[in-house]
Amino acid sequence: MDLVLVGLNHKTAPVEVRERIAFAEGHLHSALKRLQRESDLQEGMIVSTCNRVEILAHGRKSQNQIVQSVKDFLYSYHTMKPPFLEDYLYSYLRHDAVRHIFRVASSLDSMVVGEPQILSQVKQAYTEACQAGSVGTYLKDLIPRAFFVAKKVRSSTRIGASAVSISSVAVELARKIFGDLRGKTTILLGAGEMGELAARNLLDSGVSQIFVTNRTPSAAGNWLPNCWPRQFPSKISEPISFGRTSLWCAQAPLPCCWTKAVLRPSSKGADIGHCLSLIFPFLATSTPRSTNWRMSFFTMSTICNRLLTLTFAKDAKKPRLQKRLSIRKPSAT
Amino acid sequence: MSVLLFNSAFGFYVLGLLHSVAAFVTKKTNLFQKIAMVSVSVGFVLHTAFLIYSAVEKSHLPVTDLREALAFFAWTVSLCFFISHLRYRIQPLGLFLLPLVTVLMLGTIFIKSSPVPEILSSSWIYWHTICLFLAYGMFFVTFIASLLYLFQERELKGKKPKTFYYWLPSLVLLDDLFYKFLISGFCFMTLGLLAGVIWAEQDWVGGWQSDPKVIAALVTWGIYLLLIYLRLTAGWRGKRAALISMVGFLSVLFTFLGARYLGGLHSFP
Repeated sequence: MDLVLVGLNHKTAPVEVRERIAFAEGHLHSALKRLQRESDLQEGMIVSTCNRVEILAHGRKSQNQIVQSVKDFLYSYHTMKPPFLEDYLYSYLRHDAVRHIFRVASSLDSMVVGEPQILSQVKQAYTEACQAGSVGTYLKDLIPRAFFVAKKVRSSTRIGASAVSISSVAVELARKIFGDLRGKTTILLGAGEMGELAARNLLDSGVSQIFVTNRTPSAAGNWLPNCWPRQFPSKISEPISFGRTSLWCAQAPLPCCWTKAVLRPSSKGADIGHCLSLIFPFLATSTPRSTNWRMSFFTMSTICNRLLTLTFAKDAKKPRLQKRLSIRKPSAT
Repeated sequence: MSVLLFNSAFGFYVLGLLHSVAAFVTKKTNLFQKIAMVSVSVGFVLHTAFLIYSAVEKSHLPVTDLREALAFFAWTVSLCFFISHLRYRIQPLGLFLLPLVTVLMLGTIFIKSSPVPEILSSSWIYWHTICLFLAYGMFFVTFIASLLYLFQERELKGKKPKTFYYWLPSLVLLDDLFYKFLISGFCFMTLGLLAGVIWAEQDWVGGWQSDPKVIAALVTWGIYLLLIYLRLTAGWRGKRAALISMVGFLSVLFTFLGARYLGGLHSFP
């Protein structure tokens, strides 16, 4: 009977690898079922966020066997061949595994140390595992204890003193690239939790106008009236020319925007000084997946002296387009 | 009198440089930076007074021998520093520009003055040298801006911000500084070269076209022209533009200092 934790995070693996072994939210349930069945484990839990994918497993076999079976599961689930992940994966055993999950839940292992989102993400992972029936007495004891420790860390230290989040760091980064954001117009792609935080941070730094787009208009409507009184177009349904910063907070399994669509230069009216764009490079695995922009945001600023147009690829779900991407859909069991 | 003016200007420049370094090391930017700016301002005023006084005393602008040329170049660099500071308020610039000013001033002290050759007693020399020195000063700012741009870009891409990340301004600001000084420097260089060509056609013996310094200057001019052309048409910015401008500045250095030793019409005693 042993507990192991196998995974990778932003320190050990580049975003290209992280996005390839990330578990989509909707597929977590089936993945947990499959993990339990294929790896012959007593208990299992998958924490899959933008910066880490970790599997906490408890089984009857020896430590090494459990580690190996979890690795085998990762390879087979994501249809990869060993030893692709060997350089990126780490494994913790027993006490080390417990210590690591405590560190993760307390946000001590995050890219932005002290960001509060990770705790809710671990909670979400735990809930999913409970619903999938892959949590037994061992994890039921351990994980709530991790939540308790995380809360204690937050309340008895100054880790949460400054309001940090990936979004605030991204807006700070935008300021370091584009200078003063006052009076600038921004497009925000994605109206989820990160999008909301980004919008608040952008408004604080003096952005005059924010366009928010979302695949489902309802989500954008939930929080926008609170932080910005104007009516926004909730969806980019037609080409929109922009001389503005764009922040990408969308998490999508397929691109919602195409390079060609964005890079289509307009013939007139280019305002060279203000055509700026920023993609969140580290807001997750979402960025490379939700756009097919294989360019860095620095390259973006080099092409932004042209007027760019932006469209949502309405046909993103067509098989032809899926084929063009090297994204593999998780194989259904 | 001129020695007094020169030495006090030099002293204030050194004071400004020391305070810029202190601002960087101690992170107390407000206090030290203010003292540095005041010192450099006083130094600049005294330096300008020195140039005017020398011009009146010698009844020509002091740009005719290497000693005077270095002092004038130092003045143009410090002028560029002022313009860029007033427009952009980029504090790290002083840390890079002031050492050059100090070194140029120091060089002036150790070089002896030489008599003015007959050929240089034309009024064209003022246009030629003033424009070119202004261009060199602006290209130096361009060079520093591209250096800072590369530093900052590296910090941003490294995702582990260190001192430079907090200390340096935004990329867009550096890019703007880079571009404005590039264009101005290029205009001044073009004017300076035109003045030189007209002057050479009027007063000089033939064969000035194959002078090493003329060729080096044309190569430099070509590099900057290419940079501006690529920026306007192909949108070359950022890292690539910064690297080209660095090559351009190396060419400037060669034109200014290196070509002197290859002989030709520009090698004055």
